[in-house]
Amino acid sequence: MRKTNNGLSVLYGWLLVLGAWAAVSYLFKVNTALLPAPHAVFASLGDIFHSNGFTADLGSTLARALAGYLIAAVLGIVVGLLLGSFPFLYRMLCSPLDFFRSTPVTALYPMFVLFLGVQDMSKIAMTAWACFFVVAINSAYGVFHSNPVRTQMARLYGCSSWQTLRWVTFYEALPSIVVGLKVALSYALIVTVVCEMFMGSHYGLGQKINDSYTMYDMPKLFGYVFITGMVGYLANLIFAYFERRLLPWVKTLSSI
Amino acid sequence: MGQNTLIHLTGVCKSFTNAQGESTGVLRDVDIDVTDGTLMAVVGLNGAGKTTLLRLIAGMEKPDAGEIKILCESAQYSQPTTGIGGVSPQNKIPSLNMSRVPAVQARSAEILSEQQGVGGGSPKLGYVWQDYRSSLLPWYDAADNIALPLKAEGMNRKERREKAVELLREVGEPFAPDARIYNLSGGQQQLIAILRSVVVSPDVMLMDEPLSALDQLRAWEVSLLLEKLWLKRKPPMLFISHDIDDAILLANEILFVSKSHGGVAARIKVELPRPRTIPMLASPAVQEIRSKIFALFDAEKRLTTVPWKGK
Repeated sequence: MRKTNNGLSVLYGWLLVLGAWAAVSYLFKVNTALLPAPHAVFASLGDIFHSNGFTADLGSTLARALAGYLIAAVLGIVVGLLLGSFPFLYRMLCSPLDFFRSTPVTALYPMFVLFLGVQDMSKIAMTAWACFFVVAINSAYGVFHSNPVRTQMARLYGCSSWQTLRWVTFYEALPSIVVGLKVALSYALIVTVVCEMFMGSHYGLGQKINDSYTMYDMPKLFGYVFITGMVGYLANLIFAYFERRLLPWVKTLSSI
Repeated sequence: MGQNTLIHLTGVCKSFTNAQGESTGVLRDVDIDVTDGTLMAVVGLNGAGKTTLLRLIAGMEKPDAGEIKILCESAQYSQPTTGIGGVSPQNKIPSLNMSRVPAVQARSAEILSEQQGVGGGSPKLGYVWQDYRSSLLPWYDAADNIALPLKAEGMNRKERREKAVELLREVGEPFAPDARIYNLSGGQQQLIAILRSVVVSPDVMLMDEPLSALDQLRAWEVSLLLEKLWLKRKPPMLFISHDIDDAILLANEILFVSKSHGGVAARIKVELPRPRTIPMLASPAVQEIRSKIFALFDAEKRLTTVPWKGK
């Protein structure tokens, strides 16, 4: 892929999506109660941006998602490195870990509400729960797949286990850790928005999506969905930006 | 002659079991003594056990039978040679370094892992891996890679980087100290691995094909550089080579590891003055050594029943 055409191709992609949407809604006259027209959604976006609570909506969703994500990232990396460094620990815990990772966090919704209520605490906890497993398991894999020659080298030159973990194993696991963090990033937004939709909250993008839906305000619903999607998209872009700077020695990094 | 370090192998056997459960003997009953002042080239066919020999000495592999000792005067502690895991901080007797009694070190994988990091407790090894690329840390720059053994010793960053830069300058600074590993050529990466192995003035130098990534001219250059580094203290040094001329140019003794013998088939002295020069390779003495080695390879060809690629 030539880099010079990249920006232009992206633009074409968006024009294609917009064109298809415009064609469906203007040419085929689809019911606007189901699919609002582009101009109506753009107008509603303007309303949303100028509405009073918008910064609070955006801010609380971001704060909840980020809080849950960061807790999961720190715990997940620490637990994952431990699991990777002590194979017996991994053998013992891999099955339960896999079970909880495979159980949709939304199925655990009642438990979270019963234990932690319907406030921010349970939303953040559910977000952290969903993100934790993917980070932990990827971190452990990263340690397993690290090059044994490097560890051997560190030991031969007198590095202690702790030094080997900090100077060698951590970096070896880093590409895999980053993959876990990347997957977890989308989980964080999904779970936070779902929690806001179903638990309810004063502010939050999920709450506003739910509000627009119950009031059948389709342009506004689409507007909030677009904003939520944009948050996820930008978060991924920012992540990718730091990823490249964090791991310059990894040549074949997937940009997905 | 001040003899500070002695590598002592008696009756060492080592075999490996493959995935099919068949056991292949690599080394059978190997006895070798290597002392200070010995710069030994190890030559032989693929699979003859050259790398295994080096790994055994470095403690990365445990022998099935026999004993491997590195007796080293500069090591500060004496440790019991019997048993594995019998090393505890209580039975380390400090300050033997003042006496002339060499401290005895038994090396095996387990003991190595326990001794490392204690500080001064075991002989310092310099090792260059055959897979030198995998042994470097691409997240650190060239100088930090060279200085890693110093970092493990607790030297501060400024000082240890100075040491690395000093070494780089000694070899003509072929790249900047802050060069990224992944931007360097194979030969430059190999040079980093070599410099890292000598940065702590090792008691024993072990190099697994340290010249493999270099063209002939560079290989000779680096050979002479290795000689220069070695001449500073003349610790026992073993290096594996697939190039007979490299072996002759650098070594004062050539160890022929034979596949058919399962161990050492011959030791050939190389009596050339030091420092070595490339024209020496054209001398009649060298020609004689060459023909001896050719004869050994030829014998190997006739004696080895197992073909090159499996069965």
